[in-house]
Amino acid sequence: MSEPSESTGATAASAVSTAPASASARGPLGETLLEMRDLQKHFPLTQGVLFKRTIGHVRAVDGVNMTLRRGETVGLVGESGCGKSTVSKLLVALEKPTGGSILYKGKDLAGMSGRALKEYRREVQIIFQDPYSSLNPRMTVGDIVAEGWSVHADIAPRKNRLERTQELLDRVGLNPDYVNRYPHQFSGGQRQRIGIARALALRPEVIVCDEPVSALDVSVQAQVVNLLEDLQDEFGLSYLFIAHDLSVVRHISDRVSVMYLGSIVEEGTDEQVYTTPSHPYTQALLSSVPLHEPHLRGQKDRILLQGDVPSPADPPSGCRFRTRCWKAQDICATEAPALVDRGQGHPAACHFAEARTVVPVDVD
Amino acid sequence: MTQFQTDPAPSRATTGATLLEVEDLHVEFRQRSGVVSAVNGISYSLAEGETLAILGESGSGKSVSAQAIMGILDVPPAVVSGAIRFEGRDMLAMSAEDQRQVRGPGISMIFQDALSSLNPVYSVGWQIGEMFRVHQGASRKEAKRKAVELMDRVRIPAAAKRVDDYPHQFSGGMRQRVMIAMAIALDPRILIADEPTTALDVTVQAQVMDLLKDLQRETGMGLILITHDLGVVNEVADNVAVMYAGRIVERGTVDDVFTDAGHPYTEGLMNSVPQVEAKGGRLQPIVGQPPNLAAIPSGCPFHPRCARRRLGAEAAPGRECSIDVPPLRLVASGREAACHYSEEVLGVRAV
Repeated sequence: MSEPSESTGATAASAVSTAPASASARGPLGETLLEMRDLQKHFPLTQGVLFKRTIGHVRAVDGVNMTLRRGETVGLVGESGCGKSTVSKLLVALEKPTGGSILYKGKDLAGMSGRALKEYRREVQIIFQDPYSSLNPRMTVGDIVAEGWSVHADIAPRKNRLERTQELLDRVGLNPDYVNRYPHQFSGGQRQRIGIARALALRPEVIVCDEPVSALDVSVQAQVVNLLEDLQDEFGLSYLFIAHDLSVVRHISDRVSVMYLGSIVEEGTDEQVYTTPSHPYTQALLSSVPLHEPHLRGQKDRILLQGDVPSPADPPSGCRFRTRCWKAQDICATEAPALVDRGQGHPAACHFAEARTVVPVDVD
Repeated sequence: MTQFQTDPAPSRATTGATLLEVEDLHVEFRQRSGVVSAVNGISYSLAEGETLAILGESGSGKSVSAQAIMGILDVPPAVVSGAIRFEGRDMLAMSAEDQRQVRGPGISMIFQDALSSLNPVYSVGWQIGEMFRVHQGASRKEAKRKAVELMDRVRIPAAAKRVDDYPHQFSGGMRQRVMIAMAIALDPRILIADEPTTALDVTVQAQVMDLLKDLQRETGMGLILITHDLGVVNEVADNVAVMYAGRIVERGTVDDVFTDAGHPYTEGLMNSVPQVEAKGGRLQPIVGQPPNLAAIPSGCPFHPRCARRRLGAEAAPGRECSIDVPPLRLVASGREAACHYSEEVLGVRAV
């Protein structure tokens, strides 16, 4: 089932079908576009109505290091509350980091203003999770897609805008005659395509995909995933693909970072992270994913974690995962483990990192 | 931090007595704009100790059929017909009060969204204890004691301390445990779980599914698991019924159906979902959208999206996909599928 298929969607029109067999088979990766260095976002917790005083901080993002190169897809996985959506908001400059920096093409985002910031915002676009609340119900699809051009007028000449909007709709698999319809006239999958067209309209270099398929039905998810892959090949886009669905992330990503309670606990190629996970949390996470093949049932190591994720307002000292970890020793409470390679071939933030296969390899 | 090697595969042999029989169940919603046919003649049965998964996408009628069994649909606008026999007695033929007497202790249900299913202004202990106060006339003190016992049974840590806490003080996984505690309070023979883990993270999902299976092993109750997650079905269920546009399109044991699908829709679902075991090649989605239930396509409801449909001269007489409705028929031993050309689908996906 590795052949490119023609089934991109009901109205898929573009003659482009140059999909490679596998995501990792894409050409050599380009230069580094985005770099996060020790990125932090602490939200203040306040008490009092008139005289607010800060009584603590929610450490939503607490020291994230990641890089994104041209043309690649980096997956960011983690459970709810781990801070992955805050990372996406920081990247599209909807939130300001409280520490660390975001470098785009070598320049610090915090130092950008005026024209440079405007250009950054055009080049780094976002697709949201919920296709129902992220489109303005009072605007037509054409207006939604074209709205960005009212700020970035140089991208599309004024007189060709309708034509260009229709091209975009066609490219994402929607009928170009639908420009005057409203979002409520579309299904969830179609709305997600509208969101994708809106992001593409500004000719971005990077698209932050924040759970782009998790609100969709399974049969429609695949259509959108395929569309994202095709667009990447066609326009040389880089994706930061944020999701909690480990299977989708493995499918689409070239590299994967696993996040727990505000920081990255493991990173590597999809192969490294999924076949030789080295951080106990990654192992537990992978072992919880139900498998689809009856013949693999019962071949999986199961690691059942106890308890819940601690509050990010009061994270454990040292290693954040130690309160739920079966390997925890005294050192884990005193010293936060660095995200470095301890002989597994890829970095993991654990003092006792050890590769362990938890997902059985499907041999046939 | 419990680790164990693997869980025992679910007992595939279902020898228990039949608990529930659903026969030719129809549910319609009459609206000003027309009739929405949510469930169009489904039949299945559930035995003691059996786990039956009902697999389908949104709008397939999987939740509505369960709500009809629970009697929680508003009638009207809903119109329910057919037969729902619980331990041999047809509930649709009973008076509302008789239905309540049978259903209350016999069948219970848990829902996807535990936070909105719990009352925010009562403590969880009070809500669990309500079962005993209403159905068994227990005193407040007695009910609270039993609530703590139940919370222990669903493995809520420090149950005695948390019994007076309110729903918002619990995490998502713990709230779902509270729901489960309420559902099993009266030792039901059947538990219907409607997407019980969809809102939960995978590590919590694994905990909750484990709990449900353990409870089933202890009590021998029948479990109807409504889900869209193929992985959950594979790991938890004995049998599976795949629903599309209000009909069951395929039915069989999970092993059979997942190893070799007999309906193009099931086949399409399997091919469109990426797996964690392997990166896989390009996904092969099902084209188009699920149908509008107010205007279900003629013939086989799946035919507009089906890659294997046969129309006009290609079709065998009386088996034209756009005209003739395919009945759910036996296509292999223990396997039923509602496709005119099911034999061509079987054996294709030999992976």
